[in-house]
Amino acid sequence: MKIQIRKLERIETTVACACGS
Amino acid sequence: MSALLTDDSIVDLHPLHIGTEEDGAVEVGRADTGMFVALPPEGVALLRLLADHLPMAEVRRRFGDSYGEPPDLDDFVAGLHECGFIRAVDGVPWPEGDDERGATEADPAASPAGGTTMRGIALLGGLGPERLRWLLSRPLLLVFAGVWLAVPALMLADPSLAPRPSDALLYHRVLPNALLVAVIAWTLVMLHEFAHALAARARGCTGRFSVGRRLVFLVGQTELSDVRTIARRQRYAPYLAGMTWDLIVVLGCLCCELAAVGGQLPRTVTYTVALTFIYQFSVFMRTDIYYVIVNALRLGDLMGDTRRLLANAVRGLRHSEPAYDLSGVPEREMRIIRWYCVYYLLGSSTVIAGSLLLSVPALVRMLRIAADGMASGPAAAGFWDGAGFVALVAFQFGTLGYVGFRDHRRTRAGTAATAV
Repeated sequence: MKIQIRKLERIETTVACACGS
Repeated sequence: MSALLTDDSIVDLHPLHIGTEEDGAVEVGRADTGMFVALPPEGVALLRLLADHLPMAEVRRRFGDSYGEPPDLDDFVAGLHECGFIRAVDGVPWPEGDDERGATEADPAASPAGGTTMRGIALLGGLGPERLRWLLSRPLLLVFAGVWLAVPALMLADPSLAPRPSDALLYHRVLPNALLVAVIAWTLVMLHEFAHALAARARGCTGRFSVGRRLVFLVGQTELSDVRTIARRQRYAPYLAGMTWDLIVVLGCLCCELAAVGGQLPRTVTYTVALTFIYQFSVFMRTDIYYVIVNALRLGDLMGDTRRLLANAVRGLRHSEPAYDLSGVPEREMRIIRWYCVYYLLGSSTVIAGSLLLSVPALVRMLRIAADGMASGPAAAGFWDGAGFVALVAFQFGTLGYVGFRDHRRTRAGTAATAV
């Protein structure tokens, strides 16, 4: 029996620097 | 690696968190590296047999007795190794897997819209969760919910409090103003990320800070992968802590404005936060709200699966075979991913077009003003205004370029640097 290993997403919360526009 | 395994081999696993079953899968992983996978219940049963330090032949026999057929154990162990879950075989340490800290080479999930694989600087790691638990006590959670309601309620009640683009002008000279806004913006970024780390620590997890990129944006980011070790409903507090802190700051600014304290500064801070909120709700990037939605919908790797599906679609247009096998993604998730693909393409295109049509021309105009100022020589104030602005732009774009290069290099190498 083949067992599926599914990698899960890394969790990286972010906030953009508002300066730049 | 499987050549090293015999029927008598005993596999020694790193300490692994094993979650509860949801939708026919269980989250399993290492809190110390942030690598987590989804396994079917029979995969967890096989993992537990390995964790009991049984010889490979005995693992096969017991699994076969329970499930009616033997497992493809060599393939399973190779998969665990790739995830960095195996510490040693027969007492001999195994080298770390290819993927325990980074993304696999040539995986589109790792590169197009940015994404740092290094875990960053651990924040508050030495502070015991019991000393911070009060921060997420029920009374305080109610206060935070009140803040989320109070800010829009105040702006609806008094529309003059709502942020406007003119609020970005804190100072009458354009270039020093840009420097001031940059200082305010980066201060808010740091405090936002610190709030994530505080809430994560209160839940017994650790946030790791670094600088990253999302599309064209330079971002502060906190890696929180080990929140997968806590119940799904408990993950919302760490995800929303940054925006909650931002709203507390905005509420303070609105109170200052109502009390006529602080001059223009409260409005500038409120406007700066408002811009970051537009970013947070742009969930075609991996933002705080993106993770809230992914958590609520119980999706394993929405962004990665979306990019793999799009890569397959592009190859399909060229009549090539799909590059990625998505058969392991549940149909429930695939239905959401197909819709998200459209939103992802539209959102990403809009951001890139907006940057090219609005931000770049404005930047060029301001650089011309800076150049004119610098032409007048160091005796004039305009020279230093211009020099400061050029330095700011060089810092922003230099950092963005460095982050892009760093992520690209790590993706190519297939592994990331050691966690700090």
